Amino acid sequence: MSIEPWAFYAWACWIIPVIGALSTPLLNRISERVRDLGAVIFSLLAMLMTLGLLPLLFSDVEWPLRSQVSWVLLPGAPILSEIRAGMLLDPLSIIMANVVSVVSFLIMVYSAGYMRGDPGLTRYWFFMNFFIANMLLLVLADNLVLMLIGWEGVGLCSYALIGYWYRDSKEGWLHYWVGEPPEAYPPSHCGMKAFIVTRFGDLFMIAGVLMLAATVKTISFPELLHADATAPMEMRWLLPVSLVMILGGAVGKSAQLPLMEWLPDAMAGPSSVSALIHAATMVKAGVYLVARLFPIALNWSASMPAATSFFYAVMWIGALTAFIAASQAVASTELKKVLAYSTVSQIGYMMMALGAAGLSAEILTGYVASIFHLMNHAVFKAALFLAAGSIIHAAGSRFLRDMGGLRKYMPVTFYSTLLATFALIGLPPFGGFWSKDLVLSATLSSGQYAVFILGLVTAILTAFYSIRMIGLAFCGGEESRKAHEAPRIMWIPYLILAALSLIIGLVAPLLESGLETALSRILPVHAHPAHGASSMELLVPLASVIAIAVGAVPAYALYVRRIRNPEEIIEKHGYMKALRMLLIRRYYINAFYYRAIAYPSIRLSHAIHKAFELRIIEGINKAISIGARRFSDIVRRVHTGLLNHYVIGLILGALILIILILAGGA
Amino acid sequence: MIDSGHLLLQSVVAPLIASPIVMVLGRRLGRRVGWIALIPLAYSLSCLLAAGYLVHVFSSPLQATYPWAQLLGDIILFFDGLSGAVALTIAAVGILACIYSITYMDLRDGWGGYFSLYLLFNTGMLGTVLSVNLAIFFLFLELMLVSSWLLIAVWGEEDRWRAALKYFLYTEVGALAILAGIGLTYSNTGTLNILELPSRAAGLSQAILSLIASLMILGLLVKMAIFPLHSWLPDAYVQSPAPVTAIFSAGTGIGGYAALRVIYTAFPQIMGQRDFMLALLILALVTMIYGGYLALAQNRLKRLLAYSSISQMGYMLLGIASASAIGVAGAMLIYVAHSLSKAALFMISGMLSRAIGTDNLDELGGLAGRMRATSIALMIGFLSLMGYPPLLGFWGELFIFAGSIYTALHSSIDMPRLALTIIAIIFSLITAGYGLWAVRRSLFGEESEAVRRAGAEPRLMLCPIIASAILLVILGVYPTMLTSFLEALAALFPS
Repeated sequence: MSIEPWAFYAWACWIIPVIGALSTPLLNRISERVRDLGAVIFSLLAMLMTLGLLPLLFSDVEWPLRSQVSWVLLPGAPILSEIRAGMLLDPLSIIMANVVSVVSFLIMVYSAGYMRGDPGLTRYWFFMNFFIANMLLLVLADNLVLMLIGWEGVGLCSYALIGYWYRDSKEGWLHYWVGEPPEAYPPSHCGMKAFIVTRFGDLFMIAGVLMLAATVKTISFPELLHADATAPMEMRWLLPVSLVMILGGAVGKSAQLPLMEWLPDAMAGPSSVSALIHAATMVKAGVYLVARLFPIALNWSASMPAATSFFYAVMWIGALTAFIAASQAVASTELKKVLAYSTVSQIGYMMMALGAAGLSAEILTGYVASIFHLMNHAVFKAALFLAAGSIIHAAGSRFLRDMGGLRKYMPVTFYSTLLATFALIGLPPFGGFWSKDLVLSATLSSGQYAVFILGLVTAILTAFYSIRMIGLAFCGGEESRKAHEAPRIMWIPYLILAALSLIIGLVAPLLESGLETALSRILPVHAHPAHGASSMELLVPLASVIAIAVGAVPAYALYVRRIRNPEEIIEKHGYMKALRMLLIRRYYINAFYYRAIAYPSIRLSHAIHKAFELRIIEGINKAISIGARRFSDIVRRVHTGLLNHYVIGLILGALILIILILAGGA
Repeated sequence: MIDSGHLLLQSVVAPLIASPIVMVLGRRLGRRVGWIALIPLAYSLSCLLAAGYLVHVFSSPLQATYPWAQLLGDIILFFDGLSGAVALTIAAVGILACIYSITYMDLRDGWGGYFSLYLLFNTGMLGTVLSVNLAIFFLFLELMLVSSWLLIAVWGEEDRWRAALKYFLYTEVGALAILAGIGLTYSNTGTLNILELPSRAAGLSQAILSLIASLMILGLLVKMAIFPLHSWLPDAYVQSPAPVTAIFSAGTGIGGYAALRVIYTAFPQIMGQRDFMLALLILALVTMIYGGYLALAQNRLKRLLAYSSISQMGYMLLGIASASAIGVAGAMLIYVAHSLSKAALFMISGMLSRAIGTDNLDELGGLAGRMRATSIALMIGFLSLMGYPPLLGFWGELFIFAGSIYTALHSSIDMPRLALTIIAIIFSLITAGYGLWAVRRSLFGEESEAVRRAGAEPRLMLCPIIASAILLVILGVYPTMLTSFLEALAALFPS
């Protein structure tokens, strides 16, 4: 059997890290060094495999390429009778897989330094490699069920790695707890929270997938493209409903409203985990899913206007999340939590762009914007998180208030962070500038002005919280500390990533048009984006640069130059204090979930146990047994001990039996 | 007809024959008699595996007929994709729990009695599953009931007598309902052979059919511990010795298996009765949620697992109520997955009770650092219950939900069914809730005082635990091993 090289690469790139994960405990038997080295090498191999897919982008193959094997058989079943394991290669999956594997490899290298000496490293490497495998499986899966398996797999790894320091010890308070009282949580709590919240979204996704399977009888992405025609007329309306339900999974995984509350608390995990799972890759899975369903929803909306509801939902969820999360980042007191809110907010941008693209005549702009932003964000946010790991280690605390003045102690970290922050803000010519520009123009060209304004306000907030973060961490602080630069094995990865965010920016126009040509081939429209009026083209970058200035200048004055103490300003105004409280308490959404759902569920369970199970059900049991005893007391009187009474009873019983049998036989 | 060389008969009879021998040898060998008891169980398993191989090769079910009473028909043992999977699960769990018993059961004497009853219990279960003659089915059901009742009553925990009596009375009432159904079936169709019933029962009036089905299903719902008939289960499970509880969870699911046979093999007309199936679906939904919520309220791992079993039986019933081939496959997979994961989990709870002195979650904590293998098995067991890939429970849940949704959208949109199924899917979050919370309370956090004093995991108890966890993974990665034999069953369904 001959196998195409691309098929080999596609299968190998996720099977290799599975082998890597499974071999970790075995390599540990040899020595710890071998184990660490082995884990990194497996992720390197995975990266090489995905890089092997890149040349396909420049060839003129007929997309999509598929390689399938039969897997789960349910002979005779009307739906899902055969679930195949299949790899689906198209420009989207190839680009995504490469983003994942390259960033993963760099983070694995960083981990070798960052996690050195930790007693649970076997577990760490196992779940890291297992994560990479599941993430690539999710990306390359060619049907919804297989994707769901990768999807849940990454969720499991996320759970295990957030709660990595499962001891929850109080000594770790400054390092790996999250939040401040009353919303401070230990790692194992955060892992559980992440699991349950994302699982809630996933269950909607499962329901949606099954509804699709039942109505259109297929779960594979290429076949879904034109599957709307196969659905019976009176069930057509279920298709958009299923799409929106599947969106539930994306909302959970990508930490969008209303399921965003798990991600800020996921920062309890090691910084490398936050970089890999909670910034660069897994949380993008939702965006990827929407991008994957995008052509399908677009096709369906041609015959079914209701299918556009999918795009509206995506766009508004994204826009609101972008704004709300960015505002929370402004007040956050923890370094990694600033980055977490920022991640949520930036993913909101990506969602917003995808939604707007579906509602616009210029589909490609928004679609490319989203994927381009995803790439950029993966690079600069990974750099920021990795650097944050060094910073927290150097400062000995996760709180911004314990940092300050680190600039002179860790110059490489400082400049890396600075570069990546510029990309995050969207300063020209960094990568973030170009993709954010595209995102904003996509909303504008789809005529969604309210969304555009929200995006712009978010840009202001982004500039503000980013500069605030830099200022609080690196500037001021006259007191001398013992902080020192991170070891080379740690700073090289984030320096590379930070430099990459600049390089991407420098070649952005090229990359952009490359993405356009590549992605246009999987969208139902092949028209080149008609570049609109030039006034529009200039308006968006201008607006976004102004937005940066509006946000950055006050932050620079307050937190870098420190011309006035921001605390004093806040203390002076009552409304500022109230606002800060509102932002720190996350608009009380988190508190609402605990008070309205989590705690009441547990209370309810106890109430049911006490009031219903023990009182009513057991009460009935007791009543019956007491009744039975009373009855037996009565019956006992029949037991007269006289033989003839018994004989009469026997005959009567036999008669009844005979009558019954005769009646039955008749 | 394939010559099966009496494989099925041997698998059922082997433990039965060995039972008195073990009883006698128990005096002399003490604890070691458990190894003797293992021989017939292993023999049963190999017979069943061989039978499975034959079914695979000839792709047709095995059937073995032995003449018995003129009036009640022949003894017929039947091995197809459904009964085969269930019987194999029972045999596998039977072996694992038997090995576990050897170290777990701390008896001064009575080893012979324990293991001989244990073997009878296994015979009862296997016989119930493989028989297609309703009278024989009933006899094996009673054997299973009596032997398990004695196991609880004699070797159980402190409150064993009350729990055992409650269990006995409940299931006996259920058994009487089943008996009434069987009697009515016989008097109306003249046969007790399930495989003949579809043709014989075709002419039955709707009223009689409903009565028969309701009686039988009612009885089986008691056996499955479906709300509100569940209250025997928590006590019986908690009071049983851990290995008995482990095998018990496979036994409880037999009610579900029998319900599948009653609805889909014996009286397929019932499938078409929408209201009846919908009523079952509602019961399933209530049981899922009720069991889940009560599991959330428990502190003791064993009791938590008991309520979780109620909830899982709700899942199985959901598959039974799905009226579709996918749902039936799902119910079967849930059975296997639940039996294996509960076997692992109950054995873990028993091991914790012994090694640490308690399985109260409030007194545990930080086990992950001390008992690594146990922790991984505990995690796998709960993840499978949650329906998490790549474990077997995932496929079970996926297929029961798929089956129900398929039926809801089959010819026209059945709104109540669709809505109830979606509610069931969303509420399966409760499983993740109680599962992860139990995991967190036992494995994570600082080591508690009790855990710090704990000894090592006894290896002989650990092995069966790990074996069940590994089975969950292997079957989950390649469930086709179980699902590909269901073709004959699927033919029953209108496409």
